[in-house]
Amino acid sequence: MSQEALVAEIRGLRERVPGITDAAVAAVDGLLVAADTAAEIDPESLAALAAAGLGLARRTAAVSGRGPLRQTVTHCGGGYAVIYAVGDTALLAVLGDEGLDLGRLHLETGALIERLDDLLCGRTR
Amino acid sequence: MSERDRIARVLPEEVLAALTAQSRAAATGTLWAAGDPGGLLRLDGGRITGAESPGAPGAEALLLRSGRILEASWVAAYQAGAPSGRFAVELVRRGLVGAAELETVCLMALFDAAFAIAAGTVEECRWEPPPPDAGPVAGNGAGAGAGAAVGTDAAFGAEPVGREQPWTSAVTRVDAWQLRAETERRLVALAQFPTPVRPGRDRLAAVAEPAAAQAAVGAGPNAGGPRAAGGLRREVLGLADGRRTARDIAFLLGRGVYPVTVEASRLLADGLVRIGSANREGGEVRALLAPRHAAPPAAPSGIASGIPSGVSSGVADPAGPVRLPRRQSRVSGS
Repeated sequence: MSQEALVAEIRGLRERVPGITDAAVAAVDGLLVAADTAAEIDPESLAALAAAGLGLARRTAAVSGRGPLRQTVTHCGGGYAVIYAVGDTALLAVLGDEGLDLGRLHLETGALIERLDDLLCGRTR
Repeated sequence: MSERDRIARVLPEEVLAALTAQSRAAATGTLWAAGDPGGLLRLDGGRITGAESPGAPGAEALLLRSGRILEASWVAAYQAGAPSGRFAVELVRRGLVGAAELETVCLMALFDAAFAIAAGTVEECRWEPPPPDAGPVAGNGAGAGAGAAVGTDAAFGAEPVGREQPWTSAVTRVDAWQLRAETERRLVALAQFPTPVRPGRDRLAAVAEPAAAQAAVGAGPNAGGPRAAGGLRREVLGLADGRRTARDIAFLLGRGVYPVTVEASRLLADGLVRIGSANREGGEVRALLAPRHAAPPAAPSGIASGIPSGVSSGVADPAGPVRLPRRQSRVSGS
């Protein structure tokens, strides 16, 4: 797996989509893999909570029979926390402010998640 | 490209052409500008009732983030007023904001969004007439109908406030020529700086030690404006961490992106901040796999999960598992 490539991918996401303030990649067990976060954000906590949130959302999707989970969005007074599954074993957590365009974020993350999955699984293109 | 050409001085051609045509035709609808950050202008009968962009805080962010209105009061007013399309009226009736102040804030947000769109790049413009069932526009005075209220309400749940008619449409409106004049005035003012900061692109990093910088805040050749400007200057400097753009700082503070960008350009001229190169600044980026991967000579990485060996081996500490404190066995027995 290329370390630099992983970091470049999540940093590139923040460069491309206005409104993203922080991003992290973690394993589904909550262990942090890579983070691009401001000083006020504790990436370890973010990773742990994102893993818990993703687990809950997946179970909710399964129990409620709404099909596969796409992403989980926490909409706050001052912004968003969005969690995407990356394959079965990892996740991408993105924090944004009120200006974050969710539609644009979803567009950008589609291909990114495949690339992250490839990187994490050591596949090359 | 010279330093001064970093910022456009006029509205992007496509936007200006579409805006002129639609306002002459007294059209109602939405002008979408795709780009970075891009955004949209809402027109009603040829006048602009709102502008939104991911590159500028909206009226809601200006009122809430700045602490002018508390979140709880906001939600209460929304629940009382929004179903009938009278959210703005409700804000004023409850004394949360003065009518004139609300109008000013909405107007500032409108101009600010137009500035953000124009200061960025626009790839293409698209005109979208209102959907046939959208009902009357909320801003048409007392007769704002139930149709508009439904649109507002539905939009609140799913989208960042309002794909259809947001509550601010009822508060303020300007003519196309006013919007153009004000936006270009701002662009020209920003272009006066030796190196104008691009609001959504340039990541700002404070140069001096925090303490030294704070002391220097009042000493720059451009300092000494009104008191409020001094406060903004300090706040912008405090948040310039190498990751944030002027736009990011504007959202954090609940201030317009234009005043923050001007202040950042001033700080840049005074040598108190610098523009970080896009790829090297923001040293917070961490990749935890590398050190863990390198430390132990990779535990046999045949672990069957899809996680790369780095994640799996990262679980086990190189020095062996940490021993947790345990109770004495006889204590638990008795």
